[in-house]
Amino acid sequence: MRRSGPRWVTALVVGAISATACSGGDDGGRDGEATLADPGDCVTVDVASSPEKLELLGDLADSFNDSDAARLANDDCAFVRVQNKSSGAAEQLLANGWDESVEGPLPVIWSPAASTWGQVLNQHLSEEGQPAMAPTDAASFMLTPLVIAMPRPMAEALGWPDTPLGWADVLALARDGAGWGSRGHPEWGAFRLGKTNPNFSTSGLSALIAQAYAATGKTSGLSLEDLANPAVASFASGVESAVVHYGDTTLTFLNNWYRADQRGNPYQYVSAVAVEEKSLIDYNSGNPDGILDQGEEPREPRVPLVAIYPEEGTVYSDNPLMVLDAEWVDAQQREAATAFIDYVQTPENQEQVLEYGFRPGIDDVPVAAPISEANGVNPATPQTLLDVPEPEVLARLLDDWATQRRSARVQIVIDVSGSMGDPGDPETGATKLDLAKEAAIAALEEFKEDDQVGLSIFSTELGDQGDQEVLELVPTSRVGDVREQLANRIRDLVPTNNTPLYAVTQRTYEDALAAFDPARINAVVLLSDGRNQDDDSADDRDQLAELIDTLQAGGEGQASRPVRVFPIAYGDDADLPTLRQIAEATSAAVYDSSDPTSIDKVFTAVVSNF
Amino acid sequence: MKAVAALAVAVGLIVAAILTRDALDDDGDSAGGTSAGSRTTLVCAAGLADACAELEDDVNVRVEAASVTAERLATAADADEAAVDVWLAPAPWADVVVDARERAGAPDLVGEPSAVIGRSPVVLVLWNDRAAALEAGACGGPVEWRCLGDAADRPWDTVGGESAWGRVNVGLTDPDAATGLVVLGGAASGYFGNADYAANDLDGEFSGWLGALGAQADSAATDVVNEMLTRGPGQFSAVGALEAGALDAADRDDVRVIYPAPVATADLVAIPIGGAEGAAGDIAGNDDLRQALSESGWRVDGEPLAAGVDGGIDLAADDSLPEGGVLGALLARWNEVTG
Repeated sequence: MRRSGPRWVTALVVGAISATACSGGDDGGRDGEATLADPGDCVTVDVASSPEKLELLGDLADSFNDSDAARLANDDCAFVRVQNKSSGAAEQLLANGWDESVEGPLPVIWSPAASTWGQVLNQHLSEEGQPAMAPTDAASFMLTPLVIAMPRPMAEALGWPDTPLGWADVLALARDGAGWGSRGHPEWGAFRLGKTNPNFSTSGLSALIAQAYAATGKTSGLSLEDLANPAVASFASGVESAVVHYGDTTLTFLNNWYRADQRGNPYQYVSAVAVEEKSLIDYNSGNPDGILDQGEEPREPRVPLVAIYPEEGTVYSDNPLMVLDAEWVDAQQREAATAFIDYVQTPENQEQVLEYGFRPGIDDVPVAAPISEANGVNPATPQTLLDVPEPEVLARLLDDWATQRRSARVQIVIDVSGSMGDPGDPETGATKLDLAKEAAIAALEEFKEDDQVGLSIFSTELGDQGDQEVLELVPTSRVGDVREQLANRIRDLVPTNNTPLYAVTQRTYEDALAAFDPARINAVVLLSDGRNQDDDSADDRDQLAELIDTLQAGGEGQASRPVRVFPIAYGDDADLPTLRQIAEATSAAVYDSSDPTSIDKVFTAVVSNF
Repeated sequence: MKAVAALAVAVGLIVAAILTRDALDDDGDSAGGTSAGSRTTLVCAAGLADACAELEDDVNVRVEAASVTAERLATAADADEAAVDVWLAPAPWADVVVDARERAGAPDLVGEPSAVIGRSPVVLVLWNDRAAALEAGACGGPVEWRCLGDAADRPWDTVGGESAWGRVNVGLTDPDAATGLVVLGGAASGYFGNADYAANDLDGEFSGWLGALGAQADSAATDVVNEMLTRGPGQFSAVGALEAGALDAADRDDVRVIYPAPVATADLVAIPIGGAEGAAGDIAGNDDLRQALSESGWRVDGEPLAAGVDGGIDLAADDSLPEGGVLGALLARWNEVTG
């Protein structure tokens, strides 16, 4: 008997962001629905904010709305409302069309994590023959530089803090077949880099820019000619070759790193991660995802991280407050928006950003704790800042990255149990399997031609004899050769019987381990809508324990062959806790698609890891 | 069917509460009771109805599930909207609401609870033969929460029992009920060996343990001891409950009442809402209430112990439970792992 009692406690946790991975990107959390306040007769200023500053900006909006600063000319008043929109998602919505019925009101102010997103937006609009929307001179709300985070002993092995370090050192380590052995620490294994997908994540985009500048030796004026230089491309490919996986948020890396630290070995999951300085401060304070969930207490890591400010230079996430040059923004809204921007830039409000681990956006407020050496960061740096490239250069960088990024070998495993035939979208009548098929087919487009992808399905009583639990429908092959075949086989899937989740995960993982390709990101994408259900429930607990042991063992040791399992918990009945355990055992992330209509976004987020 | 029954009971309680409030309103009383001169409204957690009935001459009494009250208090804008002056419940519920309001950025509403009115420790009730099998088998000694959860949902013949017994079925009082949250917290304290745990510790291994412990969980289970005793070992091999809810088990010779370490306790308090500290103090000191609680199995200072309460068990000064936020996270995790 399963309970059906109230879930009130969960519902009450306002503002808490789950550690569960999610779609949307940026480095602070998920896009979420929010009830927007009624502005009354005031001039409404809707703000689309990236998640890491949502709480602070929301608080400032509330105090602004109640203050004299919100009084406008002609006895009007301004009313600011802040909604959560990750930078990459907002950019795509502004470029491709913002459906207010789905995404909430069109923003008057857009505050992505960095101005680079404005450049990307303007470039995308330009390609469509539309005028620029993002101003290039927007005020900065707060700052945090991109850094390369490393466990202190690893940084020291490279000469930190006396020796300047940067992307060239990362490249040298990535190319060094002896890995950390050449730095006196063979026990740490190969050099492994964590870096997010620049199409989704600000730190990923910033790292891409910094890498490119490092390859050229420039600090400004990165050009298309530079990017066409084979040496620059080689530099990029070399750095990417060390990446463990990508993804839409640095929180995946930080959470997995922290778990590894708590188990006593933070050295073999990743050696370094490109993150914002603020995230490193959070990590060292024992709060790796930057949010203290209900009942959670900060516990400092056993081995703290230190920030390496690349000697070639770095870029700030400057959190601009951009009043959009858009047709839906009128003069009154512009006046109201300007009043709000002036308000958040007052010194007393700027001091608040320090509490969140950011640097103030104005010079009048000095950098202070927690930005201090005690927390692994250096307030006197960065010494060298890099210019944001021109829009067309940014666009080319992203295009090039799509081919230069590390290739992947991915097995997609889809649950075709009977419950996948349940309704997924009451409005359209589509079943859960219908929605999953559509999303999986669309996600195939996100793989690069050289990636290797296979397709399996699982349930009970499969195969000619009805005695199989997993069927390989398309053997792992180069996507460029089998994309259409994969799509056709996905299109043909039908719901069948039960959900032998544990046995299938174990077998699929072991197959992936046997076929491990050290030159690629090796992963399994596991979509399941139910709990383990096979012929014998008596051994379920032992089966799960054995599975978790197997998954953990595969990724441990110097000669580990890390195969990441990225589960998608699909629909309300999916076993999210178990799928989370599976993900964590392989230092991957679980994706929550309890609302089946979100599966398209979730699938895209999962594939952003490759 | 049990889930449906639970829903019906919950709806019934809510309807009864509304009817009660309407009746009081018809009499000219304010159910909110926060304005000067109005009668105090006391909300009693379900399970305390008989004791609270002793106060009906002095205050308006409403009985409802603790989770219902907690939700209203956590989301109410003010005391008027909360429509309660004093809440009689185990102390952790006040912490849970305070934590929820803090996290939501809501203003203070819940005051400092009264001194503890009565206490009742968390117990395990097991059939004698099942207890003996676990002691000789999976537990390798006295039955504690940790080994019981390790054995839960497994076939009996794999943990020291007989195959004919089926699986190790553990019943727990519904954690959404007033006493159930204490039982759940006590079980988790038993898993960790102390109450000094945080949400960080509720990891995958713990979730697996909790999921097994809750494999037979039923939201209608507010009296699991009675269910166990009337339906036999096929229903539950063991149950977790408060001592006050297990009095019937104490005088039977086919079951055993165990006080697993660390012994967590439900410390019953009067929780003032919207500044009703005075009313809460009055209720906490009400002799009729204290006597009624004592007679129903609560340990009340100055009152005799009811039959079935083991006076040989000394209780720790604190309740051996974590803070409210942790209990809230634990309850959320429970909901997650039990479906």
